[in-house]
Amino acid sequence: MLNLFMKYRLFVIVAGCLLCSGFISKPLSSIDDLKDKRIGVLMGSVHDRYANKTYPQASILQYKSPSDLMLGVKSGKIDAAIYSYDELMQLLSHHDDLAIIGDALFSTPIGMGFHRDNNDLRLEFNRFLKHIRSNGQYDAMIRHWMNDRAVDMPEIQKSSSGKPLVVGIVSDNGLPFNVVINNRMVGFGIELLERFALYSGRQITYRDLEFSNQIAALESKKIDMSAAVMSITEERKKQIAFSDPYYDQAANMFALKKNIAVKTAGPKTMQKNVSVSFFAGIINSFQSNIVQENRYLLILGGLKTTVIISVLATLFGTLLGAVVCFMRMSSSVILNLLAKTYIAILRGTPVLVFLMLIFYVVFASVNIDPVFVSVIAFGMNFAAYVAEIFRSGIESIDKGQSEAGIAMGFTKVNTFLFIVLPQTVQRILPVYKGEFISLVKMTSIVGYIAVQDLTKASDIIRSRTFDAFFPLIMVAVLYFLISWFLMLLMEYAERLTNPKLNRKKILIA
Amino acid sequence: MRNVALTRLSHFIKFLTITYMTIEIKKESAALVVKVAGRLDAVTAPEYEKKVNELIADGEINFVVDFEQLEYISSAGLRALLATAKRIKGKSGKILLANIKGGVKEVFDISGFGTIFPMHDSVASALSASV
Amino acid sequence: MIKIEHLSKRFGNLEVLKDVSVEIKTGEVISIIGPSGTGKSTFLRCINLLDHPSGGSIRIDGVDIMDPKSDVPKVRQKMNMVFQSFNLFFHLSVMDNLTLGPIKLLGMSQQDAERKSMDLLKLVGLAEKAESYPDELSGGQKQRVAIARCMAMDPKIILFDEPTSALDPTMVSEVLSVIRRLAKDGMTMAIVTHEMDFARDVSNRVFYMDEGVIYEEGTPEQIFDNPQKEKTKTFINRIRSFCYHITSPDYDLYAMNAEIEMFCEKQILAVKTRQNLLLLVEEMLQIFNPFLSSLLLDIVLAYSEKKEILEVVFEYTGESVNLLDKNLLADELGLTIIQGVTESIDYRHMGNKNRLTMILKSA
Repeated sequence: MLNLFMKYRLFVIVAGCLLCSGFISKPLSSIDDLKDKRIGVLMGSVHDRYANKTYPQASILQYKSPSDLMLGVKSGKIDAAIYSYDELMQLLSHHDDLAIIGDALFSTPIGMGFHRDNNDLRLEFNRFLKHIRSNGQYDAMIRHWMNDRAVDMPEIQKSSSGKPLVVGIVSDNGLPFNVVINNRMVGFGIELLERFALYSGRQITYRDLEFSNQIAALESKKIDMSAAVMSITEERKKQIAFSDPYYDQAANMFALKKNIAVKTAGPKTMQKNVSVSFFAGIINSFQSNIVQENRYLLILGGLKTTVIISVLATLFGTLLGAVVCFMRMSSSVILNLLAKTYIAILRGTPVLVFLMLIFYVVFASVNIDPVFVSVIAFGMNFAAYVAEIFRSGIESIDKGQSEAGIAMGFTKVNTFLFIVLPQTVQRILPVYKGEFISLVKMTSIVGYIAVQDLTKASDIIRSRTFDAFFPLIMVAVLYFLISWFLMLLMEYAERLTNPKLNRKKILIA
Repeated sequence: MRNVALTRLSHFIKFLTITYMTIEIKKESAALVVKVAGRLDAVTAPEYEKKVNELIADGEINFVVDFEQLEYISSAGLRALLATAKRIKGKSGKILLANIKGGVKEVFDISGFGTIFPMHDSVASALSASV
Repeated sequence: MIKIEHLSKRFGNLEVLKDVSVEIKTGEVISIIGPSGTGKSTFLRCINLLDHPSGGSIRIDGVDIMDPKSDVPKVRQKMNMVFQSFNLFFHLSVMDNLTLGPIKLLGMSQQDAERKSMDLLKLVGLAEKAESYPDELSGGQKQRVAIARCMAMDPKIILFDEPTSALDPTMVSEVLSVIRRLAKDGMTMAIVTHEMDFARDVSNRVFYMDEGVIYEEGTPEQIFDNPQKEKTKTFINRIRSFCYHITSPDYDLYAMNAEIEMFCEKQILAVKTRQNLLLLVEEMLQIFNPFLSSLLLDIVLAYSEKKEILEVVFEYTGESVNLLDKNLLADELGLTIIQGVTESIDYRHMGNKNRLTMILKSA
């Protein structure tokens, strides 16, 4: 009797484990099966709202990018996910381990997003839309991108001068709307935008932002227009204005094929199902992630951006930190208090939050380069730490040496410069090194304000290859190499400032 | 602050002075052994004198005073010793001193008292001498 | 060269220097001695304005350095200081320590500065340590480098703030010999020190500082051999004293004994000495007993560490009479004992007080 009971409990535990590891005991046969499972959606999207309303018993997990969403499904973190039909079809043609479950869930019109007050631009776009609809251009585009599932971009004239137009996009949205191929943006959405630019005599600058940030970016006028494949909803109309719809898009649920009982007929797989050895796999990954489509250029570009932001932020932060340190150590109560407050706030807020505050709130409605904003934000954050590091360094130098300097006839300033400062620098260099390298790694969040740094580059590659392992490892290695190289530089600086390692010979005349 | 502490200390010592001199009596066949321990000074000497007078009144006449554990003696102590000795002599008794050493001995020497009393190295020797 | 008038300095509520007026002439070597905490270092530090005086004036070569318009750093360049804790610049080699000032402040060339510094290092006997760093030197070596560093600026006067106080005895002499050499060469110096013998040897004027002023000053002979004022004497002989007042016959013998015992412990006196002292005091008090209701008695113990003498003074009011006079005593027992433990007994009548001075026999 007891044995049976024990066996039953064991079974429950094992089944639970299996369930948690993504192996659904019973395969999904219809969408209804998902009502109490884990469903993934793109954060802030129509699918998000839909899922929350329609499946109150399920756990809805929100993902920041389409590639992350896909990764979630593939790694079993979620049982199924909802995404737009057209993009899905493209996806499924490259991944034969995914399939759609059931029929379309719903359908919504897609429009371009504009700031509520920007009527002129919006109406101009509507006029453009009418224009291409009437002259057959629109239909040709639909055929090309949606039906034929092309990946090549037609040549469109670009005006070298013209009014600037800042457009927000989601770079890893996926075909048919937009994707990065050979370091170029291609897709239906891109063609639409380029034709509009030509029509209205404008020059486009793209801002790559996450889907969930697009509306905020519009409202703070960081972008003039959003081409983020956004569904027109009443909710959104309260915040922004939409153009006339330029497409109608369905949404579907998809999951791992092995978890689905009945499979809907999907597109023909373009991938061959060949089992590869581990090393061949790595070479393959290397090929697809770096070499193919000259993706390494993306990486190099991101690398450059990361280094620029890191170095400039460090320089700015160190100078600002010196100023704050001076204030903190001054005898004036006001300066002291100001410095203390600054340090407390900057050290107490997460850099990401601070960065977004600066970009979306402080510099709202200002057309400012996000790289510049990153330098300021990281610099200010760094300054708070540097100030305290400086202070602890200075205070650790015994006062007697300053007294000796003063007694000798040096002014207070010179005593500091010649006697205290060299020793301070020597002492704080180890900690400073650490904070600097920490800063380099922190810059990986600048993607949030549309700066294309190293991490963002890997995101884009991931969205193309849907390979999680290789791009991430690669970027980790690159960050490590940056840190290592910078560490070497700092150690060189340390050797320069530490006199003992640097004995020079005296020449006695 | 210091004075307060010292006053407290002195009160404590006063408390101890109740035991600052102790007298132990042992009746031997030959004589009565009076063991004096601690200090015999201006404060404690009167007590000593009183005690010995009581013993004399009880009828004792042969005394051996054991100084083994006496640390200090001043003129007051010497005077008390002299006074009790006179009394004992008056009753035709004997008084012998034993185990006088160290600082106490020096005081006896300086003051000349070293020759007034018969002094012995041990109680036993004093007892045998008192027979 | 230096004229100080009515200098005062307070730290918060504590008045360290009350009213110091003094003149220091070129070529003089002045030692400043005195008990700890009496403002010797503060006085020195006020001279070069390391500590800012609360009042008074300081004129150096005619320049009033307390005037906000004076170029104090410039004045300081001609005046240098040697510190108790050496204060060498840790990040520089010995040679660089010496050449920093001359190059940056006096505008000397690197070569000249190095040459001169090398000579100075030879003078203090540390030529081979020129390339060493301060943390590789012993205390005595550090201080000698500090002195050489001062010399490198060609000062007119050097201030020494307890230069040997942080050194262990084996290293003190090497530093003192350097200072002696400087004195011989005619450098003007003001030295705060605890080394009495050295101060006596090397200086031509000694200031004894106490109570926030220059309590007594004079030549070394005057101060060390023949101090006039009470406190100076006490200091010079390093006398430690203890005083007990008896105001009535109801004094507490044991309380007094406790205090006397504490005093003896502090001076680390032998047990025998302590016993004899207690005996002496008790006997004296016995003799005084009948008179205690009509006179006041002060007992002063003074122990001279230098001479290892314990002096016991009994000072009492009342008519001029020596209470130890044999004729006045009931019996001589007490007196005999007293005479037995003392070396000497001296009676004097001074002013309106009677004084019996006794010196206890050493153990």
